[in-house]
Amino acid sequence: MNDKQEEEFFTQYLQGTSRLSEIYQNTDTPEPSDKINQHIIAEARKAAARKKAINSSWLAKPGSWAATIAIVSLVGLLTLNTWQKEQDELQRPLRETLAPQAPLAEEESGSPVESRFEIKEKKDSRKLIFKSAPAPVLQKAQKKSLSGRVGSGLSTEDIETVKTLADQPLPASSENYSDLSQEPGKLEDAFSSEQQQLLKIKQLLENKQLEEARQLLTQFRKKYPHYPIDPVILRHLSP
Amino acid sequence: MANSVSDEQLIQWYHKGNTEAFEQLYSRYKNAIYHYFYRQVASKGIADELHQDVWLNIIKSSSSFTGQSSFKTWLYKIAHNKLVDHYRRESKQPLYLIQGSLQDSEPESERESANVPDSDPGTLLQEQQLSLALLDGISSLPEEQKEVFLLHEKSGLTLQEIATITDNSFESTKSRLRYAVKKLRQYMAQHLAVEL
Repeated sequence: MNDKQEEEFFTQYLQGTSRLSEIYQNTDTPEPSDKINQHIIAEARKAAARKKAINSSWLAKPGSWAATIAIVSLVGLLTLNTWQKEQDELQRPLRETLAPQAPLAEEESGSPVESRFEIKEKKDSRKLIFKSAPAPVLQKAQKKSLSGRVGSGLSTEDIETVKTLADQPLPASSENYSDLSQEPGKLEDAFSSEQQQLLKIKQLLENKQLEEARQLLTQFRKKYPHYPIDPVILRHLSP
Repeated sequence: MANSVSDEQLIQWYHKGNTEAFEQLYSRYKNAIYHYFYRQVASKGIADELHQDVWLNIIKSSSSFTGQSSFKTWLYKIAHNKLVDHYRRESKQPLYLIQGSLQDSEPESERESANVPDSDPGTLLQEQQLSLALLDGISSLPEEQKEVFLLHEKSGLTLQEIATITDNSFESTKSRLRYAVKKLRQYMAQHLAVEL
């Protein structure tokens, strides 16, 4: 066979008209068994059923995905918010502890520092007043005596009234007190004497010995004309 | 389902869940694919296995068919890759080296049932002999030539399609087919003293 014949035969073969093709087409064509065919078809049906199940599930729906993302985001934000609040609660006591030690911190420690200075000024001014007059010592003594009398039958209203009177500044020109202020021992004796007299008046009132109480009050007023008297006593003994 | 529906349409329908579309596709190509494997590996068991692998792969990856090539090309490409994997796995020599064993391994029924038309006994015997000789000749071909010949002859693929499936150039594919045809003619002439 020369090359020309070969080329002609190959051209025939490509056109499908060669004897070679004819013989080959007559050969038996092996086929897959029915078992294999059934197996493959069954697998195809199973795969299709799985696809349908997946497509019909909520995961395959865009709306479901959007809702899921929204819920997860919301839960995440809430969790973060709660966590931040907890952190703030945990750090607050620490800040409150540290704040007085950091006066240069403007936002947190500004106003407390000012108020502390104000208080200091007031205290200083009171000291000045105390030095010029003995009244504050008297006030202190009176407060003590009054607070000690809470359980002695006075009403809360009466106590408040007495406190108000006690807070009022006493005249600095009082001779008695200015004299007493120069001698602390005498001052204490005087206070105890005045208190004792007032207590006695009070006891007489409680015992309903009004005349005696009134006489004692008159004497007390003559002796201590500027000494504040319990309004309860005044109310009961005033003419 | 009508036969006029294209392969590409059928695979898309199947991807959407239509199992009848798959059955139609399968009936169109099951014999050709099985024949392709059977003639290549000359073993019914291995042909069965490879045939199933290909179709299960089609079922699994039907969504990956993009339509850039025809379904037929895609199907044979998968079949070709399966065959290559098989050879790699088996580290097997090309089957043309075991020509003698082919006759023993082929089912006797197939040898006896060469698809020849009913005619007089003399003609029938001659056709049977020609068919068997040709099958032997095919099995003696080098692997790459045998594949090109089988794809062209039985599957009806064009040279360009075969070139795409086997990842070769058109000229290389054509050359392989030319050599295959030439060797088969020589084989027939040597064994049966038949001039084709």
